[in-house]
Amino acid sequence: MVGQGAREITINRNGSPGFLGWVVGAMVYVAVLSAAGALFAQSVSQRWASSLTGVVTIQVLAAEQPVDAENTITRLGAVLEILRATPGIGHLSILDRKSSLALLQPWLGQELVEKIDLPTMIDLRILGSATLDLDGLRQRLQRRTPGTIVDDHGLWLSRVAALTAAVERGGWLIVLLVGVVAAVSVIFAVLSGLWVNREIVELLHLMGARDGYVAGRFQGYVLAVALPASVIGGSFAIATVMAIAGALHNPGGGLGSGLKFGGLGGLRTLDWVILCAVPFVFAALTLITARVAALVTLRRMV
Amino acid sequence: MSKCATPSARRFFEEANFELAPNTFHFLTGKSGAGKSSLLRMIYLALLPSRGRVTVFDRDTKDLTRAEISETRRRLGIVFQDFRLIEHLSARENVALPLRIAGTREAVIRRHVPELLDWVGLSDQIDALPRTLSGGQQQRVAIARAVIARPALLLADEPTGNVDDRIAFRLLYLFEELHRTGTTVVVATHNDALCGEFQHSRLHISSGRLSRIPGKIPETGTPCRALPGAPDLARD
Repeated sequence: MVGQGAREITINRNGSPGFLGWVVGAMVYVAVLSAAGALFAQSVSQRWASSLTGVVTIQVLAAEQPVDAENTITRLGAVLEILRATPGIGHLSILDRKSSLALLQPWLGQELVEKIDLPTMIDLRILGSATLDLDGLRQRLQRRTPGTIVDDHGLWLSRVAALTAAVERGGWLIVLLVGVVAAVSVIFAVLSGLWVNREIVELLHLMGARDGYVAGRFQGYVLAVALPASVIGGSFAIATVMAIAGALHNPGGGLGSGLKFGGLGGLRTLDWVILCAVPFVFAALTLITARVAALVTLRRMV
Repeated sequence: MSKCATPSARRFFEEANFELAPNTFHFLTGKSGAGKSSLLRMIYLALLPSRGRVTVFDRDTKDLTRAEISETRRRLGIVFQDFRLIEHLSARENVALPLRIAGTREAVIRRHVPELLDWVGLSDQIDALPRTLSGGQQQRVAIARAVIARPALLLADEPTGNVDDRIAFRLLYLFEELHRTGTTVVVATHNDALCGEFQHSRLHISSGRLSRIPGKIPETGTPCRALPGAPDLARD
């Protein structure tokens, strides 16, 4: 029934989109931006987590000092011995004193660098499927070489995860609230429309129209206003998101340049599909809301 | 919907007992406020009797569900006293409404509506908005809308109230033509000249009573005579 034939119901006689069009357009704009924020937070946290999970860093202090009376094994040697005996470790690389100094030397200068007692860093890659007994490893290392630090980046990652999860939840909450506002606007538009058009509604009833037909007229009106408004609001929002994504992606672009966001600001193809779907979901929401509001009100009216 | 019956009208509703046989033609007469419109409103189910019984197409109006009321109304054609055309729709769209409501296919609507507007002599005004039409033209749009879905019962409330006698007679010829195709017609009017000219059975409301005055034309309307001086509907 929707959109067919003549428009018996018009809420703005001059055919302008009016209040409802502006509200829906603005709400869709906000909703797409919020959804983009939520998807961005999710994608970035996943990207960073996947590049850091599976990596454990071990800091060995005073690596050259012996651990036994006979002076045969250094602390580093003892750590490596333990690591080799630990199942689940794939790749292992040592950033020795010389390499660390080479990294620091340009910043601190040759003299100062030689006086620093730097820890030796060991990077471990954990085998994908294997589960490394991190606590057991910590205990064994602590027993043999006290002061050795095992860092699985868990603390940092959990903070990042908590932050991005909050951003993500916040984004979707805004989308939900904006959807509610759009639905309430549609309800008001339909109620005022039923009032303004009450004589036409009565006439349609007298000619044998069922409530579903009358509701269909309101749906037709709301869709004719809400669909273009959604598409326009959504297009502006996606243009905004692309502009921001472009700025983040630009290698010379300041703040974002050092961080790994990936292509198009870190949003994946599926994310873009979701963003493009938001305006249509909103148009469908207004359509359903209009029908329910009209049917409920008509049942009470007569 | 409010009940707006005057005291005499209320009395009429207490004492009326009548039946309209299928395929008959009736005038409904009486002074303003006698209850003509209220009676019609009861037949088209906009008003339920507080006591007594109104049956339409053999169904008690009190027993009808919302959906059945809609179904029943689709078998009625109503010409409202004030036309009730939708102002922002063209004559064509106004006339098409009952077919749209009945879910008729667009192709059929596109064919039937211009035919009927031609029949009531408005082929030149198909796309005109109601406010650009004269009172008589608007009335004919309203009549076309009332008859487009081939109603079993046509109710016309003062269909000649806003036009001069010449046009009024023409409209009555239209109703007679419709009557001959099998429709029961009830025309509420206070125009005695019309009743005198057309000689159909009369239902008269006076002093709160309903009396039935048989017409000279037999009630069951099979084609019984050629129209004298058949009206040229294309001219207004």
